[in-house]
Amino acid sequence: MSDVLTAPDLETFLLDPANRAAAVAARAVADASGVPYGPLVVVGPHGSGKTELLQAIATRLKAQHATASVELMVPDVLAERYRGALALGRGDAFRGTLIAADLLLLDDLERLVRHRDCQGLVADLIDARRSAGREVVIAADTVPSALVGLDARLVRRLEEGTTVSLSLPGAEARLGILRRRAGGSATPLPESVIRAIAEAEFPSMRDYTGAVARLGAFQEASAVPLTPRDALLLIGAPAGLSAPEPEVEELPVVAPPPPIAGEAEDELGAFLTEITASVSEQVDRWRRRIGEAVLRWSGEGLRTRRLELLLQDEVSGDPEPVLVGFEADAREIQALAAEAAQLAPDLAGAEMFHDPDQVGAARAMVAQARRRSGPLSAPLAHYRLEDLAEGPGNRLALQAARELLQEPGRRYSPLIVVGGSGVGKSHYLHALGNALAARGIAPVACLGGRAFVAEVLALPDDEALAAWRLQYRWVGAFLMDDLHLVAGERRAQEELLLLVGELLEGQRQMILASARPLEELAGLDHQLLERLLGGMVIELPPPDREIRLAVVKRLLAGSVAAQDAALADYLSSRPAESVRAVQGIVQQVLGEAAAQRVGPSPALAREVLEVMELGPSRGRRRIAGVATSGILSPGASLVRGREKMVDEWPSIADRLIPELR
Amino acid sequence: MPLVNFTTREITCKLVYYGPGRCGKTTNLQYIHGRVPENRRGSMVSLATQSDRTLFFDFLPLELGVISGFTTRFQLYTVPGQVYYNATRRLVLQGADGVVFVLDSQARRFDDNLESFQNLQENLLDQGVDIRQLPLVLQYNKQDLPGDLILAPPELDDAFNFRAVPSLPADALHGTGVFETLRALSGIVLQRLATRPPAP
Repeated sequence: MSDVLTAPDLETFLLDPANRAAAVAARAVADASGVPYGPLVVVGPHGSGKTELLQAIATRLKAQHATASVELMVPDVLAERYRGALALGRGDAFRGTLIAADLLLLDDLERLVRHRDCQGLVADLIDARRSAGREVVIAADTVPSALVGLDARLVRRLEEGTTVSLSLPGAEARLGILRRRAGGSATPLPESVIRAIAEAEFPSMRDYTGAVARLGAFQEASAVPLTPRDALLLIGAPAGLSAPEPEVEELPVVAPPPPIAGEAEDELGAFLTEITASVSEQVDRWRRRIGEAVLRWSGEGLRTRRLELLLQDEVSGDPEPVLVGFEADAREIQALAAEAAQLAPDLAGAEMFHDPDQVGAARAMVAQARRRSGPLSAPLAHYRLEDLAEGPGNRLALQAARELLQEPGRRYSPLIVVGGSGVGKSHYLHALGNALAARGIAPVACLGGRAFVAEVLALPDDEALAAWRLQYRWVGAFLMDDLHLVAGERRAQEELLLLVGELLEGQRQMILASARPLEELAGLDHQLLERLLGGMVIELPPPDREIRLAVVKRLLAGSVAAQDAALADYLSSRPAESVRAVQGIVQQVLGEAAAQRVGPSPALAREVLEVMELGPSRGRRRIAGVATSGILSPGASLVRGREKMVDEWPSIADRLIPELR
Repeated sequence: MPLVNFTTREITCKLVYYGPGRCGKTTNLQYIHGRVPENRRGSMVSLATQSDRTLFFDFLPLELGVISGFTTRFQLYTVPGQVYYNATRRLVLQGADGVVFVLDSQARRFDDNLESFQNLQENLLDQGVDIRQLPLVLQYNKQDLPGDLILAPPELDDAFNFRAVPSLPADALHGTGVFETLRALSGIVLQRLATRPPAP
């Protein structure tokens, strides 16, 4: 027989209506029609022609694309090649070859149960090829889920594909197949013989094709044409079969099929082909829609178990309501997660906010959060880290702030800032709070020690206490100024200890500022002290010369003395225990200049500041040598505060009268 | 609406052949029955009167095999054409996924066709079905008869096909147009799988 005539042909399968669905799907794969089967699983009993179908797909593809690469193998060969490749360290290359092949065909899937080490490989290949838009066709004698010993993941992958059944062709289809088989023989078998074989009952198609092959060989060696009876005897057809009567025996010429039967095949065939394509298209459209939904929502981090069930056999009911319901739940759970992130950042990461099946629980949780989330005291918005003047004294604190902002809650939590009054603790605290909020930490609670104590003491009952605790337990960052004011307040310290523990556990950032070192705070609970000292303690010292100069320059900015470097230098050289004191110095000088209606100058500054330092008696003596504006206070006492002087001169008229005199 | 059962993986479509008495509805089914292999068809149930007219209905189940994992079945019904069997017609029409309206092309049967067509619309309306929403195909049967006895398809189209549904000439006795009609209706019915969600 010539190769052309013996090569499996999909048209052979189309002859049989029972196998038309399989043939249509196979043809679609071979023609690369783009219909996603992913994978196509052909299920049929032993001898129903599965192998021939796979070969037919390969033949058709090769006929259309001679250079196409086709991998057709059985599990034993796959396992042998895979293990060999692994032994040579070329496992990935082997896998890559199978992924890159234009078509991958795996026959006798049931034999894969003996090669458990290769089952994962097959599942991976299906995934990879499906992603790459390449088809896999797998033949099995039973549905994959019925195969004991097959990897569950592989079974799932196979079930996600399209299963078509193949059955032993009927007599008419067998006749067509056998005619095709016998057609290439040098000495054709008589039509009556082929028909007799087709009408015999063998368990598998292999028996029929084998019989034709054997009889073909016999006919070539014999000068006498075979009769149907002899043929059946030769092949040992099952007893009880009646061969066609000799008198109706036809000439040994391949005759065309009876016209009526042919017409019936054409009509019914065309009908079935159309119906098959129609049903496949519609059903696969659902499958594709569900598959796309799974990809979309899982890509957004949501569980898609409900949708995956639709692709499995055990799914019950109509997929559309399930899909619509799932998408509604998914959208709601995303909205709830976003709201939870605002109300309580730690909740947003909870498992329930990734699973649309738990939308009810998520809804309840957010509702609870809404009820219990009261307004929190936030950091004052006008404090910014950029406005803090940097000098040797606070460089460490600023560096710590920058590092803290890189990993909030993980580094330097709690951060304890210790410094005297007016050194910039509050500025530092509020500015850090604003910087944390700008980085998405929410909410940021920022309050003073006194306010904290007041809140705790104002709680009327256990229910209010629980709500209050919940409110703080969910904060993204907790900042407290004037921690020293909590010392001695037993209830407030208990709550603070509890809160510190919970926030530490939740890796939330805490920053607390105290006017005195914690160890020196009388009445501070030792457990709280230990907890707080477990963090980072930073001291904010009095402003050094560099900081003072920066502060002075900022305060002078915009005034007529903004460019007076000597004045700025002088003012920053003045000793000051706090930034607030520096501000006072500058304000004093600017105020005096305004009062004297002169521009601020180093001389005026010295007059104002140094005379004040000398005290009333010495000041009176020195004033004589200092050029003044001529405005004299009624008491002529420069050690008195300006405020006092203003108090004594309630109006500009009163001030002018003595001058005129 | 075609019944799609995702639990049992079955798709079942009910198609009804409707038309006046003696127009060829049963002949359509008999032809199909004769062309479908035994393993694909169930027994054709036909309850006929002594004069061989359909008394109750004809029923022909077609097993189309497993398609995309779904066992696909078509159930073909005919209704009794005689005017006095309207209750039976209404019963058979219930739950139909599509209707083939078979017309007798003979000019003298024009009024019978018209009466039956109006009866179809009334019966559908009684069941709350808008004929415009139901897959419908017109089959102009007996086109093999001499031309002077019959109306040509364009004439029948003018009279009956004012909704521009698919219409096919046929000779059911010899099979011409029988499968074409079935294909046309099946195609429309199956398309509805995608346009509307399937029933549970």
